[in-house]
Amino acid sequence: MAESGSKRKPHILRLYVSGRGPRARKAVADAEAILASGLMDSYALEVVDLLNNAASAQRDGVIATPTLLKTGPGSPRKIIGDLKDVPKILSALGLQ
Amino acid sequence: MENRLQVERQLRESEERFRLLVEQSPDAIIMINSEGLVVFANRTAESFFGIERSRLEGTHFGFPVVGGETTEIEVPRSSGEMGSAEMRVVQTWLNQEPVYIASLRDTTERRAAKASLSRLAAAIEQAAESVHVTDMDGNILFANPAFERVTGYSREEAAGMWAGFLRPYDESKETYREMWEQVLAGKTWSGNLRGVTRSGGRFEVAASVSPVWDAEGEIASAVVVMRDVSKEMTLERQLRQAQKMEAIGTLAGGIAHDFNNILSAIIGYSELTQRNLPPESDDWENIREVVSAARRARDLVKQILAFSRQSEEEFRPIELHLIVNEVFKLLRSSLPSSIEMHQSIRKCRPVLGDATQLHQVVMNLCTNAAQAMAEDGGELSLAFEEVPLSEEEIARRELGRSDAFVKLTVSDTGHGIPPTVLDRVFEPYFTTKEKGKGTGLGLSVVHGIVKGHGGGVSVESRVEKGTTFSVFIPLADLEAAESKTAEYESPLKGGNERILFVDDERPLANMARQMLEGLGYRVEVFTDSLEALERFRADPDRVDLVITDMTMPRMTGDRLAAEMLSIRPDIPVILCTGFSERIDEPRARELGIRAFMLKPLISMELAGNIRRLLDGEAYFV
Repeated sequence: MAESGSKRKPHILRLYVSGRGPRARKAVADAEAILASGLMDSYALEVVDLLNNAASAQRDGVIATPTLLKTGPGSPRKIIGDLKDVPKILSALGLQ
Repeated sequence: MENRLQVERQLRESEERFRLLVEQSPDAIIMINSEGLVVFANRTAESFFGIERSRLEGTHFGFPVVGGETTEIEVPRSSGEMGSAEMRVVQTWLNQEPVYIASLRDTTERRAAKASLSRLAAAIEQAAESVHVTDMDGNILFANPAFERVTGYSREEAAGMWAGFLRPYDESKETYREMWEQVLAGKTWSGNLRGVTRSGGRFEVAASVSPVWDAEGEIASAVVVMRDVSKEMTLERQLRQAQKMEAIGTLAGGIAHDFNNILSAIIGYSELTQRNLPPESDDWENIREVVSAARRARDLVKQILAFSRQSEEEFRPIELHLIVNEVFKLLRSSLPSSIEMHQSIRKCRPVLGDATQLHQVVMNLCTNAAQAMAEDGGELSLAFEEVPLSEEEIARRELGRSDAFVKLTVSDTGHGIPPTVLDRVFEPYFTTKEKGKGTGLGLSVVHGIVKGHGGGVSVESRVEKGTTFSVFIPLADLEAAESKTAEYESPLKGGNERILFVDDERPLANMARQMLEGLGYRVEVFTDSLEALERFRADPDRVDLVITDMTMPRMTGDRLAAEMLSIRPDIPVILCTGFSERIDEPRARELGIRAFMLKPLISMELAGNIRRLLDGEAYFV
């Protein structure tokens, strides 16, 4: 999965998916919608395919997909499951 | 104290019951605290994640979020494959702390089965073969898009209908009975089936009908797979017909050659005998009848040879529309007024062919059409045009290679040809006409000639409605044709020169006189070669051209020509011969004869040859 991050943005929102199927594509679209909410302007999205990056997944303690990981600032937050409800996800990420 | 112990025991028992319930659950159940850590995992969760419970508890799982009631998550398995689960989440409180209970139902197998079913459905939907499923009463439950293409019925129309509606009325019910017997016996039936399309057309399919068992092991339905073989079957029939025609042609050709030799002997010896008999005597007349009958037989042989394509062919660029026009004019003056004639003849580029043979093709087709309307009258239509044909059409009609073709269409509104004999109309000696009205060779000759020209002929007919014959002939190679067509002259070009015509058969002599006078020539006719020679000797310069028959009593045509040429060496002489009595070219040249022609004389050819010779061309036909 290609990375779509930007070097100018200081924080990373990492999305773990499995493969490139319709579920993975939907999760990426949902994550992009979260970034476009206006509350995450300082974040860049990094998409990681768990199938090709087992070591990274192990490091981040990811055991299922889709998993969205906010590493900072502040305490790290990890969300697993349906990402389509933007306010709910922002709240779970501690941004609302 | 005792009460407290009892309450504690009951509490332990209750806890044990709930633990058992959770532990025995087929779903993986995990409890996650407010920091996202797994604080409890059941035994199924251990096997589902492939992680020991001691390690799983304490893992930072994250906050589970579901959109509706459930959400789908994917979990990597130790085998490297991906598992999937339907996750349900309940938020509750434990020790005044919020906790999340996530239950995960393994959907890996269900998803695999669904994917497999989707692939199967897509394969059936996109298959080139028609697939439909019927219940055990033969009612259609499902049909794929290919079914629509083959039958013309939409899937919506077909659903619920009894599959028997596809069966043509003349198809044997026995085939269908046998098919169902096989299916009910749990076997697959295979074979060819004919059907009727929505628009009433016919189709032919290679079909297999197989039983479909339900979960209880009962035959619940039948699946019918059909491959449209209509084109293959048509090609196969055409091939069989072509092979049959080829075989008949070979056989007929072989017999014809031998028969020709026999006829030559009959004619030759009869003529020799005739010479020694007093002219006009009874015996002389009898022999004359023998020769006449033998000549008719020879004409038949000639037609058989034309059918089997073994006659000698001389191909030149021909402007076929001129021939079609000539036949049209000829027929208009000779057919009864009860037959109305229509024409749409366009000037087309030339074809490479034999004018006499092509004339015969047009004539035979028109004669047939006229005969079909002899009793009740009708309309005879003649159309001629250039047509482009697709590669597929050229292959289907087995035509020769060409960029374009001319198409001749001869239609009548006569009694039509029954479908049962339509396939046989081009076979030699096959006729539906009354005895004495047709030899049964006309259409076979047409077939032979057209094939010999790299073309094709087809017939469409409806009983009591009429018949249409379509002839396709490839256009001549343009470059080659252009250089040669310049030599081709209008076939009926005439003149006013003096022609001396010699033939011992008075009807033929009179016919030639009419034909030549019609072209503007001044004609003197003789039925006695010696009298003709005397006339020529008396004033050789008053004759511009001589046409003589070969076989004549008293003095044959070649001897007459030799005598005349000894008197006036520049006199152009055309020698007319029958099919089997051609003299070879060196011998004819040696005598000084400029051309010889095959009888019966065709006005177009004769007119052309006369003109060429009179115009001083050193022409040898």
